Amino acid sequence: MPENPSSHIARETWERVAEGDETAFALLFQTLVPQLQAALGKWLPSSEGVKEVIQETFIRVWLNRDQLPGLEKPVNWIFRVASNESFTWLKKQTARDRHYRQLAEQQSAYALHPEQDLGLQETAQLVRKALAQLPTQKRLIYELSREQGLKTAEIAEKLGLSHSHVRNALSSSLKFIREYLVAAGKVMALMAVFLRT
Amino acid sequence: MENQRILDLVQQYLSGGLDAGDKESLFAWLRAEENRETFVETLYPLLMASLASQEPQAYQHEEWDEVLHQVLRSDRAAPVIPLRRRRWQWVAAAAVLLAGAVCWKLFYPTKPAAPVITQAHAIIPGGKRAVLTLSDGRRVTLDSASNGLVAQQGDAKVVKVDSGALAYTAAAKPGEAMYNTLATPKGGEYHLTLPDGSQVWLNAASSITYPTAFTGNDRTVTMTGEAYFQVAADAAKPFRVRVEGRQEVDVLGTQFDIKSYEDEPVLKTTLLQGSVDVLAGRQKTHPLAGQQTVLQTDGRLRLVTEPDLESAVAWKSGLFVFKNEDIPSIMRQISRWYDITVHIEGAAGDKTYTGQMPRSAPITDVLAWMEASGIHFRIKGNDITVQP
Repeated sequence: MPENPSSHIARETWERVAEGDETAFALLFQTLVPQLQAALGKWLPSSEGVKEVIQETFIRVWLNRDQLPGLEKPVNWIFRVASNESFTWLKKQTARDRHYRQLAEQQSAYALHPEQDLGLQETAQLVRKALAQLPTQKRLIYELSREQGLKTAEIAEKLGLSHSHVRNALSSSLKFIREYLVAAGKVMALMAVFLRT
Repeated sequence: MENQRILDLVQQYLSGGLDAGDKESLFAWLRAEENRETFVETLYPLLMASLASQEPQAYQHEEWDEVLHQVLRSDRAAPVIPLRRRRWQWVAAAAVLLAGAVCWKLFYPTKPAAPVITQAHAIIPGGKRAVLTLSDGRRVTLDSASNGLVAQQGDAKVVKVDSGALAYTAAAKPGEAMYNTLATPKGGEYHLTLPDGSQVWLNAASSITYPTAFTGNDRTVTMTGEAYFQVAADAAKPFRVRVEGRQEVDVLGTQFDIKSYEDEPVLKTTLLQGSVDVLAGRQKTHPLAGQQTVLQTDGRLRLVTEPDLESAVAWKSGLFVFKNEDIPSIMRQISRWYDITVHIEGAAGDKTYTGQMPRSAPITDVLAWMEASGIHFRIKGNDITVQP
């Protein structure tokens, strides 16, 4: 598959994202969102739909961040995730559609209330539940990375652990979160997708 | 449905121009999870084509910054903050973080004491491990054997297909049948394709003995532990699974799971598809698809018409699924997969637990989950003692 030169993202950016660097992730996000928006908008003529698909896609990207530098074509992989999330979103629409029709039949005053986006809240809640189940040390390492924005080397120094131990702990925590989401039926196992980029 | 047609219907639906009939068929298609792959394979190349051809627009901060913010908050402890009030909250959040960092320095020792759970780091989850015993008694350890031809048994070839699967090729002219045994240790699982094409998934601490060619009037195999069977149809040669001295299952072509561990109180046969006859002593039951038979300790064979199918075969999909199970039952499953010895101190109680987790999870995660559920334990080497 060809890659648009404007979607090119430096190797170093992927590596910083893998480290949990929010600025690098914002750069990635800002580069790819316009591309995804244009591409998805063509096939899913619903701005709400495009927004939700992009949202869910980037949650997957973020929760797979440690894997990104290892991918041959990470941008292609992200587009594949977006295709997958499009299906999930459409599937959800079928349920919402039925729900709306029932409400309309009941002539309920609430029928026209916009439905809140529960998808993201749900995912975030599940992620937090998964985090709560991490063993103490792993949770501590994860929190130092996320809540205090420390780099892996800084966490290692702070806790008197080796750099690789911290990296592995973060990686295995991310893996646990992903598996937790899969087990909760929230997402498809995306590792299979990795192999086919 | 044709691939392009799906996208046409999706576009019409989203622009509000789809009639009720087409909408129903589109919805039915979307609800079927097995269509996901087709959909992805259709949409993905189109998205990539757009990526290559389109001039990118500018990134819209007003529209997307909130999404970015929420994504980055998805794995942080605090709940998602609505973004409308974001600006001053950034300041507040920074203040909280600063205060937190100060407290951290003051109260947190530089080297935290290792929590008890991390002592279990040496225990690893199970994997693709098995030992094959050939007809002459030779034993082949399959986890270390490379892929390819493992052995020649008469006219049949035994091939290791990939890291966790073994297959027999049918002999051209069936000669004398030889018997092989495939056995998994605790913490092992393996997939086997028999010479007739029937497939067997072997759970941990289990074994199956079978002829290298099905030359007789039936196809009889003997098993211990737990196995899931997907039997190739052959009306002329019934397939028979024997759990020595306890039970026999006669089948034609079907899918079912037999859980016959000696340390489990009952022997369960769960039928997913097709039909089988379950024979125990002089009793015979004919469960239908979706039903289960339970051979009790008193020797009675009982039919369960609405068993929990999900938890019965979750292991095959790489999951532990516990539904209202007591500690001994949960710990038996964990001990088989993580190859640990479990002791239960005091009365186990009649408290039951419900939950699920991937079998690939490190044991530390399993134990953290238990600890969070109020189950306490001690670890020493590969021994885990559950405390009252």
